[in-house]
Amino acid sequence: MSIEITGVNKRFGDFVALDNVNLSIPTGQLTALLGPSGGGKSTLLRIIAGLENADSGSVVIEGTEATNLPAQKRNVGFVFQHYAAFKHMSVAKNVAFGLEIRKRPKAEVKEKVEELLGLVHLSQFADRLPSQLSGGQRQRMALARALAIEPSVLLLDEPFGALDAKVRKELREWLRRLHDEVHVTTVFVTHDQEEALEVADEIVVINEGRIEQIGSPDTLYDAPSNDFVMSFLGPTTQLNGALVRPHDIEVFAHPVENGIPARIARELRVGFDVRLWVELLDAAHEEIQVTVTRATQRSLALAEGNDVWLVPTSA
Amino acid sequence: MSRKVNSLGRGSGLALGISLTWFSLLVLIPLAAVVVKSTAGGWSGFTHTLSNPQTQAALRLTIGDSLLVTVLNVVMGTVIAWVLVRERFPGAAILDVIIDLPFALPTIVAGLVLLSLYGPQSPFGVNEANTRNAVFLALAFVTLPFIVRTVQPVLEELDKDVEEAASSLGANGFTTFRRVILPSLVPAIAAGAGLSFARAISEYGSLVLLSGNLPFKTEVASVRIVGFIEGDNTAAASVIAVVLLVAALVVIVALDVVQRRVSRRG
Amino acid sequence: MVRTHPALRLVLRLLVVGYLVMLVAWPVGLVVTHTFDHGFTALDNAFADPNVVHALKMTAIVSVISVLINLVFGVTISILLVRYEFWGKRALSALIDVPLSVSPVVVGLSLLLVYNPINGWFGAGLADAGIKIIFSTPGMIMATTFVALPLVIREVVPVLEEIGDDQEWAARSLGASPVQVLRRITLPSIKWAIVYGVVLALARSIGEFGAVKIVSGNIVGSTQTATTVVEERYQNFDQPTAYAISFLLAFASVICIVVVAVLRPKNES
Repeated sequence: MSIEITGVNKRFGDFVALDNVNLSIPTGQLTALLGPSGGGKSTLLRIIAGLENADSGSVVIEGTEATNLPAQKRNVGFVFQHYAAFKHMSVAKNVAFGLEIRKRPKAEVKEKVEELLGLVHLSQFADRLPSQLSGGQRQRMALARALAIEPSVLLLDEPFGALDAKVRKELREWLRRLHDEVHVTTVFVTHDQEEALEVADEIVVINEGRIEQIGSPDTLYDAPSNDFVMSFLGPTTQLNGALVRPHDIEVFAHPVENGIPARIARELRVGFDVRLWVELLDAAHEEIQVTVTRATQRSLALAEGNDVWLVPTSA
Repeated sequence: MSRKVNSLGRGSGLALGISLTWFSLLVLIPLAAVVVKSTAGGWSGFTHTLSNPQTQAALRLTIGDSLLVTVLNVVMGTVIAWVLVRERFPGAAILDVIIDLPFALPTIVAGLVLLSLYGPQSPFGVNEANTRNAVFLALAFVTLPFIVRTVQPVLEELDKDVEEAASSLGANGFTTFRRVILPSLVPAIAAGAGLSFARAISEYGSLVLLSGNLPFKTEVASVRIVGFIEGDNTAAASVIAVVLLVAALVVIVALDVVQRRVSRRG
Repeated sequence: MVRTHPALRLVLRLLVVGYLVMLVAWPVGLVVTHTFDHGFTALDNAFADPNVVHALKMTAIVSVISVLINLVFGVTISILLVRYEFWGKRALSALIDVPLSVSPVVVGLSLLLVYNPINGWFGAGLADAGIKIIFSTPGMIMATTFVALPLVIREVVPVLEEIGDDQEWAARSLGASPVQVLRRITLPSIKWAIVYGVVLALARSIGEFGAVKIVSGNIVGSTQTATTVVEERYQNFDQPTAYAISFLLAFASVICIVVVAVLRPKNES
């Protein structure tokens, strides 16, 4: 195990940010800390980095007891949401910073910086100032800067949170590929379930200072251990008193065995999907959401006002 | 035992200790000494100093003129800030530098500067030296930048959208100014007015040459303090100093209350 | 944008220009022309007077030393106030601004009460130890430092708050020690704020009159400074010298504000 967190508690005044958190993060993997804002995931990451101290509990990094080690002695790479670029230094100087602090020979520093700038596709920007880069480029620079010190773990705090949707998606895929090349143990914080599902090997869902579930993206999506995890990882709707995903409900245009009768109230097409709001024809007349494909909608000729029968399909 | 990351370490603790010691030796203890000295003669010493007619005249002149000058600055400072921010005309940049001159000029030079235009050698023949007008003039000069410089940035940041929304809702220019712009300027004006008043009641250097320091006529409180110091009566000097400190404090706190009330309502 | 009536706009402009010309521009201009009424003779005469030269030197020494003190103290206090948590921090932050609202005369009085050698709180003890503060250079430096104390802090604190501590934490996570963080990250990022603060403090220190007059004793040829010599000469009917020194002081302070005005917008864009 690369990072061992045992019994960590943290309060800010009356607010409990972390409540007895225990977590093992495996070596060489890409782990996502996922949860709503204010749930404690960033605090946990900052405690691992030494940017914050736990009230109690211990942090062990690569077998070294780090609980009382200051940030500069942990050999941890940290990437901030707002880049934390050294504004008065060129891109190359930013990346070289950690190596110069470690008093590495000039030639070695130069070589390493060139290599890393190549890795993050910023070679031609080496002499620019951070203010002359786009947000995405700044974040890649920050990543190269963190990787330069060959950290035992790489920590990213909402690394793409300040970027616009398109750049965020590109950087996400790029981070995944980069990790497959570099293989450094990586932990990143996000509140975006899609980001976590797409990039991570393992996801830790954190809410209200506690860990809700740990598992692979598939496990979490298919077998959420509770309603919170289920609803946080994707859209849900209530059917027969249970949470179901809207696309895990099969729709029939004719009565079927165990089929729940309902009537289509509204429909909305979003690209390939069609979202249906259907009114259950039981006593409560509840309205629930069902998602079908465009092809299903066509073949069944679903339209507002039609009667349908619903069957949940999830395992 | 956990350590707070941004709590003081050994180095920063030492730095704080040295800084606080220096600050105490330089500012806090000397100011405390003034307060202690002012009470040395007890309550009777206090009232004795303040019942002196010459002292009373000096305090009346100082506080009265300071209030008047502050009112003048509220009007002129706001107008100047408005013109500097909203109007584009040749020479506006020079005006911007002129505003800072009273801050930068040594006060004794400020007195001499005003004497050259309003003194015995005035090119247009007015001689206001040694008159009450000279006191007012000197105070207006040294306090000129305060309100301009607090209002200007607020006016620059003021959302043009809000004004446009107001006029699209049918408000005319004056109504927009009174109902939309002015209320957002009030906190800045109040802050500037507080600084302006505090500066005016404590002014000394620019008055020395200009006002003639005539008792009962143009002598202000700080000149009176110097007089007492030179007469080796530091207790009386301290009494007036404390009155000045309290007056500045009262006005600053009062304006702070105004500022808060307005911003809460806004 | 409020559309102001063209006539009103003209009136406002004339009012502002007229006010500033009558109150500031014209009088300041007259000091310049008075100085050069007889070419450079007034300045030459002033520089030929050893007491004037000594006073100018005193002003230079006192200002430079007090600016250096305020530089070190100001930067230290600013960093402590913005980056650290400690008991009494808010009170300290409020007290720092006090020197701006205290009359220079009261500053002089307060230092006199504590440091005068005869019955000052500490003055007597210091005098026994052979340390003279009042009526000598240390007292003048203290008075000047007192009045200019908040200027560096008021420039540096907002900049420190605005840049936040992310860069410093990033440097720490990359292995930088506290001293390295200070030297390589914090100080370079507040460089311009420090420059403004120092220039403003310098202008204030050069021009200080009331406080210095009281603690210096205004001894001709010894503790007299440029500003106190202006008063003395004007009152002793040596007006050409008074104007000449005033011109020099005004020139120095105008340079200071021009430096700030030129530097500031460039950095903010």
